[in-house]
Amino acid sequence: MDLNKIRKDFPLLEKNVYLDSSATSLCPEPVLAKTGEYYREYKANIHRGAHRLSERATNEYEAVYEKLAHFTGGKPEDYFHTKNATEAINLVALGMDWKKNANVVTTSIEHHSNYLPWLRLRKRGTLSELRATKPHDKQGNFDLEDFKTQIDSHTQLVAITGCSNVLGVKPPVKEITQIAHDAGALVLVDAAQWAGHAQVDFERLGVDFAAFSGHKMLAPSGTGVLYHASEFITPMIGGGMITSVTLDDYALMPAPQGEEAGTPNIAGVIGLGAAIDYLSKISLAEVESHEKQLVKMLLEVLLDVKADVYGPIDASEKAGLVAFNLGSLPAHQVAVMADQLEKVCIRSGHHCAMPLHQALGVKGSVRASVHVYNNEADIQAFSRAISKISSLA
Amino acid sequence: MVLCFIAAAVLGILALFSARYRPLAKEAWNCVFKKVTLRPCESDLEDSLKARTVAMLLNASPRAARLVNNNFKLLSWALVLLTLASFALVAQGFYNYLQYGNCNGPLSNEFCIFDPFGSGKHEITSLVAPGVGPTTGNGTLTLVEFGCFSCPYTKQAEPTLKQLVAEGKITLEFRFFPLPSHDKSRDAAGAAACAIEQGKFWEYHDLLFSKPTTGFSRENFTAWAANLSMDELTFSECLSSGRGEEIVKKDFDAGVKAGIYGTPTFFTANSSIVGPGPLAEYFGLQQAGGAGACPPPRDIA
Repeated sequence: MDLNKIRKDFPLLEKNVYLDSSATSLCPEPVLAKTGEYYREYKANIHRGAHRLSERATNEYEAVYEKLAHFTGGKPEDYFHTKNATEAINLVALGMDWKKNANVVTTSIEHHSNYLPWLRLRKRGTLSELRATKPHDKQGNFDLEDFKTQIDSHTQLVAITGCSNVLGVKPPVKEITQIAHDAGALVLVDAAQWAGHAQVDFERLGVDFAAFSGHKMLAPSGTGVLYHASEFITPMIGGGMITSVTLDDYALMPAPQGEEAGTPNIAGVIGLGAAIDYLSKISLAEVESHEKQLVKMLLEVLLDVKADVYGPIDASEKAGLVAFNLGSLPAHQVAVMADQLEKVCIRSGHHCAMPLHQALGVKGSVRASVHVYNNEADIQAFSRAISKISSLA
Repeated sequence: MVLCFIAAAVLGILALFSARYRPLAKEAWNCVFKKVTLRPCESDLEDSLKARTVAMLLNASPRAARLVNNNFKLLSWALVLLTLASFALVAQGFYNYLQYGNCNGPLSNEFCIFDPFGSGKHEITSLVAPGVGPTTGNGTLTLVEFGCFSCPYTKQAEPTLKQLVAEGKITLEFRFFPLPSHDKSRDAAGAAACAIEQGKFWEYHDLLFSKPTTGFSRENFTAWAANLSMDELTFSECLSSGRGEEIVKKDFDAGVKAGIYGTPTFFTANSSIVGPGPLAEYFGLQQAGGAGACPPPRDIA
């Protein structure tokens, strides 16, 4: 992996130390070029026109299903495009055929996107119960035994993160899926912090649903993906997805076209395809290994200044992000100062995981997260900023 | 949230000149509006301002940064109080400007931001009738003079006045108008007012103009009174009792009411004259002294 060459593809890095990829990642030049190419050379709607531009747009768009199947497993028709992971999860929540007395089992380390859709269903009475497993220990490691006690014959879905956006831990999705299936429950995995950072194959994992965001894996904003191996009824219906409509009836096209209502984010999806190409060319194993190296350095910096680090402090057990606090300094203040001092962009707040922060006993935390384009100099800049700021704590 | 108020004011002004400050100013005003309408303001503005300030200091002096970081609330309050005090002073200055033509108060000659070129309010608003102060001469025209013993223009008018009195052209009446910006002028006026009691005002008046103002002190005032054969004890008692001061105050208030903006100012039955130059001109004499008056123009302060 030629990091210097990679960094040249991200012009934003020239003047910024970007350590906020868990919120959204940067886009490399090939992705920007591919997105721009659609607007400049063949901007047309898909599946609707017979002219050359529409044909090219349709081909480019549909090729992304194929790319997704290679990238995260399964068949092209298992995928459909959303605007983000949140929308993908909501579509499942709204589209599933919920049984009477059904419950959903999730965890207390979830992003709000994988908690609120279920919570709302419970509040509306669609679900009889929403059960959240507790993190097992201080590092937030998953307790399979606790999980087993939560699941029962009424559990219709297990909704679990593939990687916590605060703790950086990865629950054992394969084992969880096995236990859930044995109990007759389906499994949805929120892979927003997982896809694009490490090799993942949803089909091999056996999950029924998976959601992730393109914009967190080098693709343009407004791109998300829903993987679904199980039957699924899209809650949205309209143009671009039917074979016939009469005044009394309609017939949908087969998946995935029959699932995506209206004109999608064509340029964004084509950009997502370019991002998949970009990451695949580097190889996700390389990306993961690189991120682990950087996280190791981040942890060293933070442990050196005696920061409160949340989640595992062993880089081998952690994804490419570290959440922490510096004594009693407000997280927001730390983030603003890091930006002021060294142009280091890090995230502060509850990271859309308020229940987790409540469990941790803090209002919020600071989060540094990396991607394939970060280098040692970025961590050194982070180190300089944090060393200065920690002198205030 | 206390900082929202000061930030709204300061950033509001900065935002007028630089677009860079406009988002912050907008946030601050939004916060103030919510506070005033008793709604919660969940802005991160205070944290942001604190972080930016402390980060700036961290590069220069970590010790100062720690101090500000640990006492930010206290410093915010101090700044708010200072801002409120500044607003109060600006309001007072504005009132003074509207009332007296100078934001620093009646007859001050200090720089006024509302009137940077000193055009000010230079207008006598009413005439002052004679019959209050000590008089000299027996001319048919009575000239009421508002003068200050520390004012060089009042002093410059003296030869003209003496000539007019000597020629029997005027009866001169003196009223006290000590300029606040002139050191010891009020004390000198009070001493001269005490000389009235012993019938020695004009002698004392001439003596004060003959002395450098640096010598104005209570000891000297008393010694000079003794030199003029005044009763020293009575004079001292007058100074201590404030009787002289009382006369001076009444004269000064009458002068302010008339709109006096400089000394010396002279009143005839139907006109006012400001400064020694215009006085000489009025009587068709060769101009004596400068053309101005105290306090304007400022260069003689």
